[in-house]
Amino acid sequence: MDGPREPASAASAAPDRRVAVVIGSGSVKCAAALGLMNVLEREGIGVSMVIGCSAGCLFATMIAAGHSTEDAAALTRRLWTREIASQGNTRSLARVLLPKVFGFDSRFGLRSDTLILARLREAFGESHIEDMGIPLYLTATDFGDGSQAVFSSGRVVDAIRASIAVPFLFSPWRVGGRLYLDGYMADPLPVGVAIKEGAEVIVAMGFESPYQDNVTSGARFAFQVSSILSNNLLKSQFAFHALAHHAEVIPIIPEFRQRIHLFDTGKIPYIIEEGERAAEAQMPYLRRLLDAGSPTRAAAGS
Amino acid sequence: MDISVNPGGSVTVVTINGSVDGLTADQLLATLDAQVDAGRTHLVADLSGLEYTSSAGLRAVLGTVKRTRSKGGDLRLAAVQPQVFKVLDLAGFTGIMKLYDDVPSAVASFGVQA
Amino acid sequence: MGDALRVEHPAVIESLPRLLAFVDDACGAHEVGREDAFAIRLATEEVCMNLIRYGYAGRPPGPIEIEFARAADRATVTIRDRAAAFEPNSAPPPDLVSDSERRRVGGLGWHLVKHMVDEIAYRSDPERGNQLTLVKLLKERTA
Repeated sequence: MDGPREPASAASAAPDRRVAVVIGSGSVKCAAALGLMNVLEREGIGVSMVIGCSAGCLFATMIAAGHSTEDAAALTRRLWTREIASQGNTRSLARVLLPKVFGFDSRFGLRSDTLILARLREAFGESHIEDMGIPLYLTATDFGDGSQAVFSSGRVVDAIRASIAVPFLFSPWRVGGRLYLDGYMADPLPVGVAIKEGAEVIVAMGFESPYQDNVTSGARFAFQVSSILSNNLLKSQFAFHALAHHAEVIPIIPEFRQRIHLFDTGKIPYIIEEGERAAEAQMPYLRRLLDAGSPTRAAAGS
Repeated sequence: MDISVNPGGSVTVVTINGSVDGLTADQLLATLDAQVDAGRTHLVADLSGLEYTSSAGLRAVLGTVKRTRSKGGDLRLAAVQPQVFKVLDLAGFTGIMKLYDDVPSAVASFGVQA
Repeated sequence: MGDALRVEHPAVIESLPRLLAFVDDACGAHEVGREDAFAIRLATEEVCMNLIRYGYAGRPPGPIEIEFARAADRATVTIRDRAAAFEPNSAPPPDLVSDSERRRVGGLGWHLVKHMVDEIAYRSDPERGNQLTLVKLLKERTA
């Protein structure tokens, strides 16, 4: 087992309660997590673990990498704490990073993963999950038995490719002798991982799959069925985790007034704004939770 | 069901043998609560001898998990037998609790001198 | 068709060990394999606990009757009571555990039952009361 990790150092030190951020499945809408991070940084709230599922893995990794090892940390930490605190810089960073991963259109040929793999490698190279500055957990689904798989070590590219293996879109991905599917199939919003890893306050950003207005084709029918299943799974898993956790699970569910399609990277600035809006709505409550004195794990004999 | 408690150093091992059902679960919960009340919040349950549990046992476990965690500790499970594991897994507990193959690993996981 | 065994006890928590012992003994006497016996015992306990907690709510506890029967490929446990028609969501008595948690755990019991047995049939009538039949298809067949 790893030794204890240092919590992220935010611009101003947060109270020592372990705050976990969970970013659920939601394709390009997961960019709203950057809006959440903007708000947390602004509030001086340090994040001590990040968990991602499906497309949420991309953002969880970028957030975790923002506090990475020492030689990269100086620049990146300045970027994430000071400059990132203003909306404009977040947008630029997103524009630089994300189009490399998302910048393809429907002609891309959804069944081939060559391009997305190339882009993931370009974005993340050989970096490993265990080397991130903040403990990072990326979830996928075991194709053999449907169980949730949690990657806390190994190559980032492998874990992300496994977690975004949407059935019928991308093939299942093999890591270490097992095949994996999109993380959403085990749990679209893996709050359980945060609970298991000892988080106190859990900030969970989740997204409901959109329902189709007009089911006029086989593909739309399949999407509708998939949305129904995954939304029901999202709700039932969330309800269980909320009851099973000893502290608060704060759901942050951005609402998008515009329809966001799978590859709508042009809408990323708007998505980030909605993420900020949804996060800000919960800040007073989060602040109250964190300011209230409470037992901490630091006191528990480390 | 019989329960024995080994207070140890920083980690307390609670050995639960036999079966936990709707009647004996209260006794289990009382024993676990007593540990937490005494400030022993790093708990390991030795389940090598536990052959059966129903949802009543799960309720005792979940209650203790939450109490210990709220005080900065945890309840971790060691040597869970296959049939009991199946029940834990069905209930979703394996996703929110830490399980270990044996007691020493579970004790060591707390990262403190046992 | 194997012999049917039957037992009846009042629907109070103190009866639970006797009810479970009956099921354990019945499985043993009919050579039900360990895993199947575990599943049958668990499903039976969850149903009985529901009855004990909610079945006769507000009235003096009536009886729980359990009948066990073994066929070549299956074991059948029939649980009868004379409580009001079964309503899993009827108001629980106040408890240390919060309402939502209790409901969650009650739901958990049924979740386990559904996974432990292969068929569940429920029948209710004002004359004969409620009858819940659990069928477990057995892994080991008798000759």
